[in-house]
Amino acid sequence: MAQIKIRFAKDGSSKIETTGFTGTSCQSASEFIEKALGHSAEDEKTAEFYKETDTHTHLNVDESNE
Amino acid sequence: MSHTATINIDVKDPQVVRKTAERLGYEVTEGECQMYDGTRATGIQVRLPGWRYPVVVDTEASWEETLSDGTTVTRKGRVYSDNYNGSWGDQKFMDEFTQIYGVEKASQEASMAGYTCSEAIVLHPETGAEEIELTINMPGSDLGGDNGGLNLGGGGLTVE
Repeated sequence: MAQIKIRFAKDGSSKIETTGFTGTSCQSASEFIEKALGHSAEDEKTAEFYKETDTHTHLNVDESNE
Repeated sequence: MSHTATINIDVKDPQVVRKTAERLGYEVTEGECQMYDGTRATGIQVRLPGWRYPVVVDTEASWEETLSDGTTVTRKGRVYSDNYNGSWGDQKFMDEFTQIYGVEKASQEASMAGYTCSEAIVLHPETGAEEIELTINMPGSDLGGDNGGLNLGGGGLTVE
């Protein structure tokens, strides 16, 4: 089953990982959560991004609005 | 790992702010507050343990941010806080508030989109520090295609 796993650390940082998706669909899958939580400040894709089944990881290192 | 992104969490959803404060046992009020530097902030006020001034979440404030590619976007929500670099309040309480806000906000959005989710305490693989892991189950989303067969509902459309 496709899943999104989000790890929230006590220092406010967070990490998002999607598993079980096909192709680039995981990017779309996690987009609604990313937008709900805030905004992406940095985005990086590796070669694995284009594999049929992929795992995406998102890091959150800055929680503050100010 | 095939994709990494850095995301700044915007604490601005009033319902989730209240829910977060309730979960942590913090007092919540609404109104105007004057900070040390004279700034007057209006909105939801959360009293963090040991903090001299409340954290004020103005959910109506809007502000502009210039992105790395030069484009400018308008954001909503602004957090006012003043702990004088830790002298007037331990930063860990604000970090924890942001952590729980993130958990509650993600849970809410997943639920609104029709997905089930579960919460667990896990250990960071390198530091051993406790973290909260939220797992969102998305049956039928592993079918491929541009949107992966997702039913996004309206849950992800509440943020500018």
